[in-house]
Amino acid sequence: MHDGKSGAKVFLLLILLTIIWALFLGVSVILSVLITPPEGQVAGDTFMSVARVLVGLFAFAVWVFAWERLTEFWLYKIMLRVE
Amino acid sequence: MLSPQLNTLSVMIFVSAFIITLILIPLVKRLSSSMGAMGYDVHKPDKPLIPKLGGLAIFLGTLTPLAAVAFIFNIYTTVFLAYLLSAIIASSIGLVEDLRELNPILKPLLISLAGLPIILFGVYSPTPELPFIGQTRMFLVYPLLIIAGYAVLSNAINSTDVLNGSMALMSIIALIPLIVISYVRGEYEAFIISLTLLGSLIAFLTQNKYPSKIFAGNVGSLFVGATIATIAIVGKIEVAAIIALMPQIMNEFHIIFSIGGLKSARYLAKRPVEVRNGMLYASRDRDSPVTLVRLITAIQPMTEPTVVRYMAMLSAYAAILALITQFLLIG
Repeated sequence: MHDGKSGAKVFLLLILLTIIWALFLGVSVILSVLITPPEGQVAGDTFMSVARVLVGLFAFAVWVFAWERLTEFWLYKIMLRVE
Repeated sequence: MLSPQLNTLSVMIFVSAFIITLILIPLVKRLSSSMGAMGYDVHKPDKPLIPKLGGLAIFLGTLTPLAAVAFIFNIYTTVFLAYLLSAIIASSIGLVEDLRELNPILKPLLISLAGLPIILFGVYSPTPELPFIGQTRMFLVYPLLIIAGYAVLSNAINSTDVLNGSMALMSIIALIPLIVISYVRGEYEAFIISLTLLGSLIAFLTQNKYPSKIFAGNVGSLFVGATIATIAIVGKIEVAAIIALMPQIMNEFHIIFSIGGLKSARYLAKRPVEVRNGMLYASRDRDSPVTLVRLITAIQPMTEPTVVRYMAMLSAYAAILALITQFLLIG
């Protein structure tokens, strides 16, 4: 299916997918610190709920942005080596 | 674990979905031809015209056994009704787009409506699990995430329907971890819907693989996307579904980012790959959109079936990551 050089590029593609997955887990860790409801929080605290959701959405957007920039770098600088 | 009766039922609907889809494919081919719903196979030297409403066979092949289970045995009727309506909305939008092009901004908005039956019938749990966090409470925002989820997943699956067999094969592989997880967790509805779609997609792939004799069309890819969204929500396996579909979602977002918004692929000035002598070459032009096929052909120029094998390999890797992520949820 591929020679040694292209085999290395296949491996690089899998590394990219792994980094994106690890970033997702990283975002999840951040969210676990930032948005996990405190033990004593009143269930009906709407302001805190909305704030947590907004922080969560922001973290998710950062993940998507980082994913996009990383893939572009991977394609042009590592896979295609375009100057 | 499922009871022995449900295990037997699962095998029966899987086989039924496979057989019904196989029987319907020739009929759908004739219907496509008579309606003039034909698409060019652009990666072949002679660019043959192929019937493009094959998704109707997947739609009916999946829904018929599920309807039989729901109404004859009187189980899962609420979930099935919600799913049926959702599937009809997504497929109708796909069918309209197969017959006349939709506005690229309007399309995701319309597809998001496929999430409404799930919300209205209340067949969701607003407490998704996230790795390291565990169960979260999202009573206010979860319905909005459902709406967005249908648009994102349906378009993501739709964006991978670019080569012979690519969408069907990648979707089959993505379904495997969802089937395993829903079975182990005893999420019967999600398990049965996944298994039925799997049976139908395997049958469809026999005719859609290289060289394709039929295309799924938007009607097929949007239906598959809406079905996987339903499986994720009803089965409470949202995170595993996102990870299993990472290559598809990646493809969708990169296309949107690199072409600067929601635009029709038909009017792109630069193509992501070039076809020369039956080989696909990654474009080196920075103005070309970043796509999964371009990333794969950056490895080396390759034939269409080889690109599809690489797409399947990436999906298989994402499926393994989805299973590991689910393990982290349990841990």
